[in-house]
Amino acid sequence: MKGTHLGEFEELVLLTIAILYDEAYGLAIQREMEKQSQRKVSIGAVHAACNRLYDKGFLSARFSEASQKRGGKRKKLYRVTPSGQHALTQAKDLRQKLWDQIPGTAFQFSWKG
Amino acid sequence: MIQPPKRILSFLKWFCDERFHEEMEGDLYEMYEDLVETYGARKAHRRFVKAAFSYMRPYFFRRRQESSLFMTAQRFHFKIAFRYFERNKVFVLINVLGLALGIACAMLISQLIRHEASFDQFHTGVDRAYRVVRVSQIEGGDEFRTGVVFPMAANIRSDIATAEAVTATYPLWNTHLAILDEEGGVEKKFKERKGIGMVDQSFFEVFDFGEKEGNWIHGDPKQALSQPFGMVLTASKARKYFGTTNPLGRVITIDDEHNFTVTGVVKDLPTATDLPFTVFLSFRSLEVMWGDFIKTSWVGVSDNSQCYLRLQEGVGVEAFNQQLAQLHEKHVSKEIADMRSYVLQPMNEVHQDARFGNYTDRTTSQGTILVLWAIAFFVILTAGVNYINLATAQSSLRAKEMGMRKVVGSNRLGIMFQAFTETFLITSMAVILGLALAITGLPYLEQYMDIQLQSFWQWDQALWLLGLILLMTLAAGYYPGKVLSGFSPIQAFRKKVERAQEGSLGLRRGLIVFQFVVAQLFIMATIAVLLQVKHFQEAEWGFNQDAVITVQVPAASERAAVRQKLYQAWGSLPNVEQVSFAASAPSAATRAHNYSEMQLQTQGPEEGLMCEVMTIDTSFIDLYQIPIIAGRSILPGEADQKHAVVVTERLAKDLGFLSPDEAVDQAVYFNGSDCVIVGVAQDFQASSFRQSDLKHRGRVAMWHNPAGFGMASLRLKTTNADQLTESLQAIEDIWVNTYPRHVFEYQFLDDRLAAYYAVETKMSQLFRILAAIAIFIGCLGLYGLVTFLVNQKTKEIGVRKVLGASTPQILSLILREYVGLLIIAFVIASPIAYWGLNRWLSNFASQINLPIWLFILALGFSMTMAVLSVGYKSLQAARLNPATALRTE
Repeated sequence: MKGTHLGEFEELVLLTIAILYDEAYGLAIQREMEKQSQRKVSIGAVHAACNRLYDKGFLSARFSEASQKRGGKRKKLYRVTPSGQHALTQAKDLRQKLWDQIPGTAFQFSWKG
Repeated sequence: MIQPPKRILSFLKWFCDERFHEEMEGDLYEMYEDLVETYGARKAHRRFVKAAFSYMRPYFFRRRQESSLFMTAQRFHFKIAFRYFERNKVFVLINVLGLALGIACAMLISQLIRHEASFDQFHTGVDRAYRVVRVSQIEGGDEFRTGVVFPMAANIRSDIATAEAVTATYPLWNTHLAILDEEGGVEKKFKERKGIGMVDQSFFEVFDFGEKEGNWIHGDPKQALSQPFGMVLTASKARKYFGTTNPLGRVITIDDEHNFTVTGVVKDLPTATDLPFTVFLSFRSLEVMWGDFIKTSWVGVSDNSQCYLRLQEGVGVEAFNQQLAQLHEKHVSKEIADMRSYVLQPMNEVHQDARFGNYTDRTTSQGTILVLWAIAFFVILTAGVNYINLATAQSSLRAKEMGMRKVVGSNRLGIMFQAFTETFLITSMAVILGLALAITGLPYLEQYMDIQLQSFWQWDQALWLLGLILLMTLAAGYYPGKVLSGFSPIQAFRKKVERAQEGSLGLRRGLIVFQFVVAQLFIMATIAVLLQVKHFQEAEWGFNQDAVITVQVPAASERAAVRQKLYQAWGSLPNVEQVSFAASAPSAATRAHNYSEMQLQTQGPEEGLMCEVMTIDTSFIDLYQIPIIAGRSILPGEADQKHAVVVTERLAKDLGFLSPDEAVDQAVYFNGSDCVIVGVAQDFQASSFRQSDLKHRGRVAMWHNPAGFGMASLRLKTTNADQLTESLQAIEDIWVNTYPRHVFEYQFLDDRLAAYYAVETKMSQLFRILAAIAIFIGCLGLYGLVTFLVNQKTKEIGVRKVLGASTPQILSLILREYVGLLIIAFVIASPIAYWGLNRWLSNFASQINLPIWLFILALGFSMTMAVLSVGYKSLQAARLNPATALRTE
C-alpha cells in the first residue's frame, strides 16, 4: 500500500486543485500554480503529482466531454476528496502547531555578529 | 489546425504507460496551440519539446505487463542468490576475484591478438592485395626473400594488365633531413631512424589505409610522386618539420645530397601496418640518385626493394604468377630464371610469415596467435574450474534447502535456474571487475609492448563480453545445477547426501588436477624462457663488444676524403683507442645482411657456397679483437690491387679445407670478383641465434670495400662516466664539423646486441606475470575448497584428536590428497611441457637442453604454493581444541 504522506509540491498541487474547484485539469493546474507561486512548474511534474495524489486517494477524477480543441482528447478533471481535505488540514495544523511553538525571541535578529 | 510534432508525441506514447495517454496528449495539444499563439511556431516548438521532456520520469514509464510466472520465479531466484552470497562472502570473493583476473588477462590477450591480426586489414580491396616475393632454390633448400629487382613494379605495370595498381617500395634508414628555409639555408635538421619510404605514384592506389575518400590533404594525388624528387608527408610530419600542414613547395635535403620538394600532404596513417612510412619519396628519384640500373638491372636484388600490387577482381593468383614468370624469363639468363622465381604473397600473410619478414621486422605467426589464444582460454578455464569446484563442494550443504524446495513443488528445472542465476550473478560481477582491471592494465601493456591497442569501448567488445557471461553461466552453472537439482528430497532430509556426492568428488579431483597442470605448465615455460634468455646473454659473441660505440655515417662513396679526415680526427682523441669504418657492426639486432656466393677458382661455378658479405676496413678485425687463426688480417693499401678476403673458420671448412692454414692464399671468386683468402678468423656470431633456418649461418667473408661503408665503430679507452661524457662530446664536436647537416647519433654496441633478444626478454617477463596469475587463481580455489572441507571435517578431526592423533597426523590427513593430485598433475604436465618447449627451442640456433631440475623445481614450487594455501586452514583445524570442535552443532 502506498504511503499517505503529503509532499510539499503535492500539497501545493492539492491546494491549487481545491482553488480551481470544477475546472482542475493538468494544464489549468500548472498555469494556476505558475501564476500563484511565480515559479516555473513543468507539466510533467504536475501530471505525476496528480496521479500520485489520485493513487493515495486524495483526489477523485472524471473525464469531461471530448472537444475539438484538445486534438479530440478529453480533459481529466480532478476534485479533492474528503481524505484529501483531511490531509491538507493535517498539514496545515502541523505547521500551525510548529509556528505556535516558536519562542518569541527566535526571530529577533538583532544580536551583533 | 495546428498540430504538435507527431514524432515527439508518439515517442512519449511509446514509453509512457497507457493509462496516462489521454490526459497527457490532451494537455500537450492544448498547450501547443497556446504556445503557437503567444510565441510563434519556432519558439513554440522548442518550449513544447521542453514540456514533453518533463514527462521523462520513472513514474510514467510503461509498467511491465502482468508479470509472468517465470519472471516471478526469477525474481525469487535472485533474492535467494543474494541471500546465499551474503552468507558465503568468502565463496563470492574467491570466485569473483579469480574470474575477474582470468577475464582481465584474457581480454588483454585478445586485444593483443586483435592488434596483430589487424595489420594492413583496413585497406580497401586488401583481399586482392599481394606482395611480390622471391623464392630461390639454393643449396640446402629454398630461400624465401622479400627483395625483388628494382624494375619489377614498373615492368608489371607496363606488361601485365591484370594488375590494377602496382607500387615499388624502398625504405631508407638512418636518414638525415635538413629543412631548408625560403632562401635555401638550413633551418632545422632531423634524423629519422625509419619511416621514410621511396614509393611509386600509385602507392596510395594500392593502399588507401581505409580512407575511402582518399588520403590527400594537399597536393595532386595523380602527380605528387610521379616525378623524381617529389615528396609527400603525413600531416603530423609536415607539422614536425615545417610547423604547418601545408608546406607545398618547401625543400628538404636528404642525406646532404638530394633536394626533395614537398608535393603533397596526406592524412596520418594507422600504426598497425607493415608499411610504416610517414615520409614518402618518389621512387623514380632513385634513377637519378643511383643511376639507370634501377630501370634495367634484373639481377642484383636488395631485400628492401619490395613490390606490392592489387589484382583486378576475378584474377587468379596462379595465372598471375605465370605471367610473372614469363616477365622474369624475358629479362634474365636461363640459370637465374631456373634458380629464382617470383610469386605473389597475400597481403594478410605479410605480418604472419616469418620466412619472408617485413619492414617492421616483426611477424606474428599463426602459431604464436594460437598459443596466445590457448593461454587466454586456460587462464579463464582455471578460474571457471574454481567456481565449479566450490559450488559443487558446497552443494551438499544446500541439500536440505533444495529438498525443501522440491517438497514445496519445485521441479529440477527450477533448481537449475537457481544455479544459473547464481552463476550469472558471479560472472557478471567478475566481468565488470575484469573489465575495470583490463582497462587499467591496457596502457601499461601498450607502453610495455610499444604498440597502440584499440580501446575496449566498442560494440563487438560488448557483444564479446555478453557472450562470455552467457557461456560461463551455462558452462560453469550446469554441473553445480545438476548436482543441486539431483538431490532426492528424502535422502536430503535423512542426511544421506555424502553418497550423492561421491560422483562429483571424482570430477572435483579431475578439475584440481587440471588446474595444477596449467599452473605447472606456466611455471615450466617461465623457467625455460628465463634460462634461454640467460643463455643468450652469456653466449660468447666471438668478438669484444665492450666500450664500443657505433655511429651511422653517410654512405656516399665519393666522400672518401671527408671520411679520412673524420677517421684521423677521431683517432687522435685521447680517449679513443681505435676507429673503424664498415658496412655494419659484426653483429647487431638491426643490421643489413648482404649475401653472395664464394667458390674456389679450381672448381666449377656450380660449387658456389652462399655466405655473408661483410664490408670492413683494415682496422675492423683489430678493433673488434676477432682472433685470426691462420694467415693475417687485411692490410692497408692491399685492397686496391686484388681483393683480399678474410673468411671464418666455418666457411673455410665448408669450402672443403681440412685445416684453416690450407685456406690461406687460395684464389676464389667472390661477390663477382677475383679474390684471395689472406686469413681465417675464428667463428663469431654474426646473426641472432633465432635465425636457425639460415643454412649459411656462420659463413662470413670479410673484404675491404669503401663504397659500402655506412657505419663507424669507435673503441673507447674509458668507461668512467665523466670521461665518457667528455669524450662523447668531443666525438660529437668533430662530427658536427665534418657533417654540419647531419644529426649525430651513437649507440653502444652492448645495447644493440641486447636488443637482439628483446622479444624473448619481454616474453619471459610476460610469462612470469601469467604464471603468477594462473598460480594465484589456482591457489584461491584450493583455499576456498579446503576452507569448506575443513569446516565439514571439524567433527572428524575432533574425534581423531580425542583418540590421540597428533597435529602432524591430522595435517597429513588433509594434505595427502592434494599432494597426490599434484603429482598426478606433474605426470601429465611434464611431457606436454617437454614437447612444447623443445619445439619452441628448436627456433634457436644455440639452445639450452631442458634440465631435469627445471621440472623438479616446477613441482617443488607448485607443491609449496599448494601446501601454503591448504596448510593454513588445515593447521587451524588441526590445532583446534577438540572440545570446541565436538560442541559445534
